[in-house]
Amino acid sequence: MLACGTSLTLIAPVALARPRLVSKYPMTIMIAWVVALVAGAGLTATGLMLMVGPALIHHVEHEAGHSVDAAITETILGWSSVGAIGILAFRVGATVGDLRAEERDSRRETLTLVESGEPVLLGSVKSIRIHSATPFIGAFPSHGRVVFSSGLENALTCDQLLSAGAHEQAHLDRHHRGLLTLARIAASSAPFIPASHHMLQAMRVATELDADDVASSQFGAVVTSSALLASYPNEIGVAERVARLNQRTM
Amino acid sequence: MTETRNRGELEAAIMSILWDSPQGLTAQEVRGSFVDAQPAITTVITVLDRLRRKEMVTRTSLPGQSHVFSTTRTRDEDVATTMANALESTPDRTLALLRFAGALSESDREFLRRAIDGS
Repeated sequence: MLACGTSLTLIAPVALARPRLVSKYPMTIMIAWVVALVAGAGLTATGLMLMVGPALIHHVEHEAGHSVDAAITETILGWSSVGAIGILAFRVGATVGDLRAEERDSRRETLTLVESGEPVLLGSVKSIRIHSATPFIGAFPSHGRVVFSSGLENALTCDQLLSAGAHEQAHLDRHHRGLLTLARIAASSAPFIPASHHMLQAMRVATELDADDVASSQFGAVVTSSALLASYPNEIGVAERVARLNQRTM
Repeated sequence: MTETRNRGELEAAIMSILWDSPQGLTAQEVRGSFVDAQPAITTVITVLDRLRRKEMVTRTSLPGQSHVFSTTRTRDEDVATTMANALESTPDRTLALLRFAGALSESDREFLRRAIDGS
């Protein structure tokens, strides 16, 4: 069970974090990884706990007919498992603590931004418009709102703006923050495993591509691409996302 | 049941009150400006002091009067600063803000290129 769990947890990122797969099926890859992670972590934890049981029995009494070597092995494995569970729990706990502090700070920093705007409907997307010449649109998961600036409104056509709003709403509706959080926890809990960092990168890219696909399915790839180029022509990865959207329409 | 605000909400509420009064307000006047669920005066003073340390608020002492607090930047300037910080967010901060542009790094771009090239 322990071997199955560990293998599943380690192999899933290697199998799933492939650029071509992430680009073609971003949401499927994210869900598949979460399922593999939950199953793998569950099996690993259960396997470790099952090894603790025999060690505890040997600690209390010596079973008749049980060889001394087997008892020593089981005791060593059992207490090693306790150590492994402790280290994993500590690392997960520390990462969750860091993320919660980050979330609190971010919420505090962005509160004035969210509260300074006016609530408006961007198509069917409940959003907040702030008065600023700088083109900006983003989803704030801690506030559950899409925020955009009047500068962006002036820079885009109506359809382009709605497409950008649909992209941001997709981040909120499809729980991208939760998925990224899970990837961050997994990468921080196993920093010595490169695959977990590759998976975090794959998840970061997959969330953007998935939101692009949602916007593109509602407003078309041409509108979504032009919205990206009109609002952030020089941002890292925008040209590649536009090229991908164009490829998908061909 | 008493409605409680967290630290960030109280700071935002006090900043909003001060922005509406460019001439500045005393701590007592700030407290009086809360329409409902007025915080304790000690809480207001603590938050004003914290905002002063963050250089978001200045304190002026007038003869025969309590300290008068006013903001160091306008509401528009504050929005611009917060937005600039948000726009400069790194991939590590994508949990707090998911931008239309994405907060992708150079290695993420390479990952995307490999996907497009089919390698």
